[in-house]
Amino acid sequence: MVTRGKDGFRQPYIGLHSVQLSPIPKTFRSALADPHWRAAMEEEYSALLSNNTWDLIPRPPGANVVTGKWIFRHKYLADGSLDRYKARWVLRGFTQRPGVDYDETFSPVVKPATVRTVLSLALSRNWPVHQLDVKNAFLHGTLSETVYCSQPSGFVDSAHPDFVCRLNKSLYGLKQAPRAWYSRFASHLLKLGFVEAKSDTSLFIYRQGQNTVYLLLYVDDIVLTASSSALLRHTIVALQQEFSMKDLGPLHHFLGISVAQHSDGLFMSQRQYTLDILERAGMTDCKSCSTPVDTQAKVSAADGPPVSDATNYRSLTGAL
Amino acid sequence: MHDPRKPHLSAVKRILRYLRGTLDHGLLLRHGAASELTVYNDADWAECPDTRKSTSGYAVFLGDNLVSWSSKRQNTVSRSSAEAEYRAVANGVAEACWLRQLLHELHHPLQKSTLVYCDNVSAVYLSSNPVQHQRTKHVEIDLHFVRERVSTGDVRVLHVPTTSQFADIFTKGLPTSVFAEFRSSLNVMSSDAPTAGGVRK
Repeated sequence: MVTRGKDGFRQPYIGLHSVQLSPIPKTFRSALADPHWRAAMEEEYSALLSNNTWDLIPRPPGANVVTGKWIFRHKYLADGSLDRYKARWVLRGFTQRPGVDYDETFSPVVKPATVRTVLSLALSRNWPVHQLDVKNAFLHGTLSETVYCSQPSGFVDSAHPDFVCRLNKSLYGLKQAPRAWYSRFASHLLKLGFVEAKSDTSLFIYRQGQNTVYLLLYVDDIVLTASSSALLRHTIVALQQEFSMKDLGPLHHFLGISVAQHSDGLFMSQRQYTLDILERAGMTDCKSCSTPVDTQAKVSAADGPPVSDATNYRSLTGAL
Repeated sequence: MHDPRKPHLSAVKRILRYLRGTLDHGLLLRHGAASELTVYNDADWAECPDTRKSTSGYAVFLGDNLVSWSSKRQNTVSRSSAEAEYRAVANGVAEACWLRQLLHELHHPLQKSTLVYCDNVSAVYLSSNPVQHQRTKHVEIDLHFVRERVSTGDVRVLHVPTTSQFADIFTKGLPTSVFAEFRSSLNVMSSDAPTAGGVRK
């Protein structure tokens, strides 16, 4: 099979701000040469060490060692300005072997309808809605399998360059990472007295008399709402004792949707995402039209000549 | 998807041009009470020119807020518009059942039954009348779970004139004026739009 990578296809890089920024490095060596990226890599490396993510051990004979690579990203704020430089050491999950290095990989995510239902209820009861962000969420997950990986390039232990890492915690890129994080977080919530909803497994409910807390989990994004501000603070503190997480204040941005306080309620919009798609299609300055489809539009599967760039078509359609 | 043609690309571009004009639009969730579920269902019979399958769409409101919607081609061919509409009703009722269950788990059980609006009189009859019709005998038993829901009182299926059938927006291309009216009824509006209530009810 020819994958998109082999085909030479790359997601177009949207370089709106690239003028003042250090460009995304191609290799970890060029990244180490740039002070911005070097600092980001060192931050990631020390986070991995302080988290006791792995033990360095001599390479066990016959073990599959999962390789990894550095990923570099500019992180932007919701308004499009630069937030920070981010470097992440990820494992190449495709070098894992099923049954040996991983078993189950499914991890539930919250349904958008659940989010809107919970927000509607919170609004109608005037509850505070806060947003939390878990730092390095996937690194919290504990692994049930033994997985070996190579040392991060550029940060190889000089005393033991041929050693490999035996993972204690899950790492980004591992096939089971999302599932490991989900089950770790869910089991902690159950300890705190939350109940997992049957109709959406990413919704957790806490109820004690009149005190109620709803928690929505979308991988490492959390939306929390509670019947009183005191209860909300109490819950956040209880969660922070177990995981390092930031309280981002009242809900403003979730799943790529910006949420604004409005005189009538909450206003949810996907302006930034729409702009990104238009940019990708090269249609930022196109003439707008009032409806999305023609009243006569009935397109048959076999009408007209084939599109010259089918990948572009698929990429745009998939983004909608 | 596997063999895109020029007309398909122009359809995609039309959508993008629409998006270009609605950058500041979004969904508004209001403060109002969330005491009932309302479902609008619609189907466009035999719309697909290749397979003659129908398109069904629904919009589910919790109180005044739109919480769930769908627009999907049905996976079987319908023999009549009533059948297509009935399938759409079944999809909408399934979603409403899930939401009722969800609200129950959120300790917010609904006292009122869910109102399901459909603009096809035959489909409304079909949902309450257990008599087997000559023309609908092929409709699968599993679709008739709607009848069960109706008989338990969870759901009431009512007729609504096409002019206030908001789910129309999910099944067919509409003229600009109707489209804009339905869109604002779905609480989709520009961020600086006047905040008066929509035309619902």
